[in-house]
Amino acid sequence: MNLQPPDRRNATSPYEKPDRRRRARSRADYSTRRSSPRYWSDFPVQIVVGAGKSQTAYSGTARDVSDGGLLVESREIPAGTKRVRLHFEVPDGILPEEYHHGAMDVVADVRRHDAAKGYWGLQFVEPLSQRLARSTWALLRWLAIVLLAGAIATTLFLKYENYQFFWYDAPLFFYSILVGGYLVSRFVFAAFYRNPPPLSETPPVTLLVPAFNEEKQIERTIRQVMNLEYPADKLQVIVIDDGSTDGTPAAIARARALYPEVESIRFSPGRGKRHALAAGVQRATGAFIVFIDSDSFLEPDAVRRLLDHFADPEVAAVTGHCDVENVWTNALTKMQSVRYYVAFRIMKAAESVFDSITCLSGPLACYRRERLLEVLDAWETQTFLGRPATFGDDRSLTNLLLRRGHKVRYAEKAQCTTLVPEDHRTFLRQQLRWKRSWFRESLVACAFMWKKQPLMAVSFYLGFLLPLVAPLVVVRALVLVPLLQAVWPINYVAGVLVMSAMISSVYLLVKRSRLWLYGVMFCFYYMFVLVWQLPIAVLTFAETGWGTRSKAEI
Amino acid sequence: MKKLSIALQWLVVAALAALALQPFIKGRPLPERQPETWRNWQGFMALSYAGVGIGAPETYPTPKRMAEQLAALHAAGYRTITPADALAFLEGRRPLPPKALLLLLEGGRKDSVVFTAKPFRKTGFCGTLCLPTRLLDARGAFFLRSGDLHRVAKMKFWSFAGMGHAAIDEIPVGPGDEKGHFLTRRAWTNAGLESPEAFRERVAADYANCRDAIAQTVGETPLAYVYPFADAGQGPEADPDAEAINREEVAKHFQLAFVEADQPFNGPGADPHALQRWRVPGNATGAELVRRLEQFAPRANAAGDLRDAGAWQGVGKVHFSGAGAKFAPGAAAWIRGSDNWSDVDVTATLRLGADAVAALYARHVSAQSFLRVTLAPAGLRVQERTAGGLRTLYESPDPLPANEPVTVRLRVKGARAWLWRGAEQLAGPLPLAARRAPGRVGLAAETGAFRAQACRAQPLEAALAVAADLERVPAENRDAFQALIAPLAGSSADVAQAWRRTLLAAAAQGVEIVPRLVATDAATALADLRALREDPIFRSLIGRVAATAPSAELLQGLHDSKLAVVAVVPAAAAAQGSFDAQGLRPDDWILVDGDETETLAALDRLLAVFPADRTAAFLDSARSRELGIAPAVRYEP
Repeated sequence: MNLQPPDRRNATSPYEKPDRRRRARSRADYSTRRSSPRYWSDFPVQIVVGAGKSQTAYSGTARDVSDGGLLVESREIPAGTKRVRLHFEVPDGILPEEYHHGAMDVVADVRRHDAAKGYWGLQFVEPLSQRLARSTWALLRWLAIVLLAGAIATTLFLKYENYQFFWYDAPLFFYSILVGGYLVSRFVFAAFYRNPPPLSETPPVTLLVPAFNEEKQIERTIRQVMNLEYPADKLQVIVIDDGSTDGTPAAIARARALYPEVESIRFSPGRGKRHALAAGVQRATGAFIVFIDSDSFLEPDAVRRLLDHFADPEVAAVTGHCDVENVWTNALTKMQSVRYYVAFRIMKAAESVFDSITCLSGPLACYRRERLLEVLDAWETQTFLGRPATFGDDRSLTNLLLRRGHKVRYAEKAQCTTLVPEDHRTFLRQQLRWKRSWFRESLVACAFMWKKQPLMAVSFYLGFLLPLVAPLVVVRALVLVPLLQAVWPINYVAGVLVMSAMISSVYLLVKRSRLWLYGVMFCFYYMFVLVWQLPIAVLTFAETGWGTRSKAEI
Repeated sequence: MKKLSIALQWLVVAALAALALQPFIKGRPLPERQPETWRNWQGFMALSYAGVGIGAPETYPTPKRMAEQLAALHAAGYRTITPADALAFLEGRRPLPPKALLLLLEGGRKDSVVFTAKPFRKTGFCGTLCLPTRLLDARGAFFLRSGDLHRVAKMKFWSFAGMGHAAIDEIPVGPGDEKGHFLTRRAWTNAGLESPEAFRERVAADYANCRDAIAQTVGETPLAYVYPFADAGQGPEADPDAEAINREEVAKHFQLAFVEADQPFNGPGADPHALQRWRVPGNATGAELVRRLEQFAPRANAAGDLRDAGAWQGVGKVHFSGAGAKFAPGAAAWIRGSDNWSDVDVTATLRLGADAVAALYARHVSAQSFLRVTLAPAGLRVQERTAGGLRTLYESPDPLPANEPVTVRLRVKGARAWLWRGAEQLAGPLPLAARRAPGRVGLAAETGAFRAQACRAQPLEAALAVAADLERVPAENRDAFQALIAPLAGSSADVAQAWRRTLLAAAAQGVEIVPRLVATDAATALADLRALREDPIFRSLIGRVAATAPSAELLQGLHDSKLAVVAVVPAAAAAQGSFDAQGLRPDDWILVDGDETETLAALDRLLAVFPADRTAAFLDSARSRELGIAPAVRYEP
């Protein structure tokens, strides 16, 4: 394991500094010793010693930062200094996004001083979270509430207007009423989502990590998996190298050198993700089997929080919450950050209320072994129109479980991050693949979703039909009406704005991040760009290629 | 618990489905229309709006104000009609709802539709969109476009009227920058001022283009036309022939045309191509609007108090005070609610200014149709103007002094008029035109100024009497009715002589005699009548003939003889629907004969298809007035 400080210039996501020990083995419950994580950093800090006329400013570099303090490298600060005043601005990507709100001016006490290395361990008198909670976060919270309330009120008002003028354009207004109702229902249902109480048991768990050409991330993935707050003797980790042609095998080997308990399987040539996972399942010994992606970075308590939901014996599978790892790369990744959050915390949470989420996400999903084995063969050998199904693995497996009447849920507190595409070409190809799998598997699910709870069934069919009609509505609003009537699509744009406000305000409320505005941007990106992929996906959904096999780089 | 959850969810799904499908469940909202209950033959009011919007509230009511006005009108009992309803009424085919309103929204603006959608749905009102058809292809969202009209037409709350094609444009009318209205000014071209023929052709083409554009877009030919700029050629800047040309051409392309007027009422005798529309002030509250309309409503009681300015509709400078009204040159004032009066007794005391000519109108339909007394220094004249021109029926040789009060009284009953100056009867009965339309009563300063010290006008009840002959009717009652229906038994010389005497005596008293045919077969009855009408006295004094339940053959024969018919209909038969009024013509009358109960039942059927102002029945005056019909009185030996 390479413990040299990573390059934090142009950071795209926080990089948590590992505990001094490789596993949190010092505690019986394997919980972390730290109250808050520390993140690698490399940014200038001004350190002011003294007060009034006797104050002196020195410069230093922050080598790590946390909510509670800084590790500053500076040989200028006089020895014996007990308290300093710090001026700094944490660059984007160093800390979790809710901390990035401009320059900071804080008072800190000196906790330790390594004169040889020039390191000063500084503890903030007031943690950053407390400070932000008093000011910026409080303001953002109110802004979010006002925005969300306003967006919902505006939506309801617009739907009321749709009723008033219904017969003026019945098809359009009926569609608009359904879309508005569907969207609001997501938020309403998601509000009913509740996390179960923590499970005290620690059953044996197998964690499967399929990898294909992931030389840059695989080590970190494995490291974070091995840092999970879970008893080592109850955790089996299997890495499956599915025919990688880059340095992935070597990276896996390095990781195994550090963590010999990690098992590995290698296929050459590769057999595809499903077969890789199926092979892992065959070797698994755990009562619960966790699938993650090779670029998924799990929070230490992710597995515990997944297992909380299995206290209900009818639960067959649980998906975790996935955020974007490379948030700060560019506007595209920032948009996806908001999109991911809403897709999980609103959309999946809304489905989870009815124990019927429609997609156990690839980055993090946990299965009850017996239930998984019931469907494994069918999943592995699934064909579509006579050809092997090579994408939509997650949706397909979810459908098999749902069809059997099992409960499938979402665990908000089981958190991980994943890398998302950083260029539009890769992103669009990924989205097209996702739309194909969505369409195909949704068609399959149409056959049995009516048996689910009534509100879930109605939501599913609406959620399937409305997006199919969307391109027609967009063509009318953005092409036909402006061209033929020279009427600017103000109403349509206003509608998208209201919808984006609803989505972004939730992000703002929870994340307290200035990235919320990218939710607005994403909605417009979807309505003006992504929506056109849907007809293409519908017409080409029988294609089997992945389209995107390359991964974004950190 | 799970079952409860499922049950609750089904309830929620059902409620949401009901909510989402509510428009389909409720069905397309329709305006409130119950034509089978309509019995109003008095007329309708045409209200026009320039649009609905924000800004210039005097002209354009705000959406809130518009909703308030419509709600107030609905609460006050007003009901809306379409141009088709108005046309059927004017043609005497169908009655209207009580307090009938025709709402005209001008300009083809989208905000008119948008901001009236909710109030219309709440009140059940409908409106007429007046479309300048050139704007149907205008780019932008302000005006209604062809696609919009398709959808608006489906909403059933709207009819469509024309408002010109290029007629909304102003055109060059002179060599400089001078601009004028398309329909009323001759255009200035490269070759100079266009010829009258070219002007007529351009105007005619515009009417045709407007009508055709609407017909092609909504699939229905519009019936009504509204003049853009409220200019039908009557203004001082218009080309001298503009009004007449527009009048002729609009009649070729539209069946109704509306001009802007100072009051909105249109009675059964209104000119269909010069119907009045009144622009509603945008900032009027609902209560104010209802109050104004009540002033315009037809009235049946005496009126004309000069101390009450609200009882008059002034045009030009008229100043009302406790001492009367002062009329500036060219000013006029009309008694509100007198538009439907036919027979009237009006008295006015006027004080003329130097060289002033004042007029007391007993019936003013338009500048081409009126009955008046003019007071000038040279004396009094009674004049009647009809389509045949202006006739002076009487001219007094005595001059009238200036600045001294002169009281004149004009009584009009049927086709006769009488004139008094003070207590002295100067003339009468003066013969009036046989066919005449009701019109309003008022005063006008034709030239110069005058002061009116007093005025009183009383509509006379159009009662019918039924008796064996005139002698059966007490003398003191003879003034109370306009026509006497007496049986005509045969055409012998004795009968002819008796009738001659009766006709002359009645004419002298201004009473029309309507012979009632008693022969049982049509041929005999017609033969009797023909024989009698060889006498010129009979021919000139008999304009109507009564017959009991006349057959189609008899009706045809009478109509061919250019006689109007009073169809005496047994009430019992009419109540059961066995009398068909289809064969009757616009001048014909119906007299319902029966007891009160049967009569009321018969009238309920008949008034659905026959005008009340040409219907009589043996009911008391109060009930007759309520129904809008003429009372009939039977004088038995």
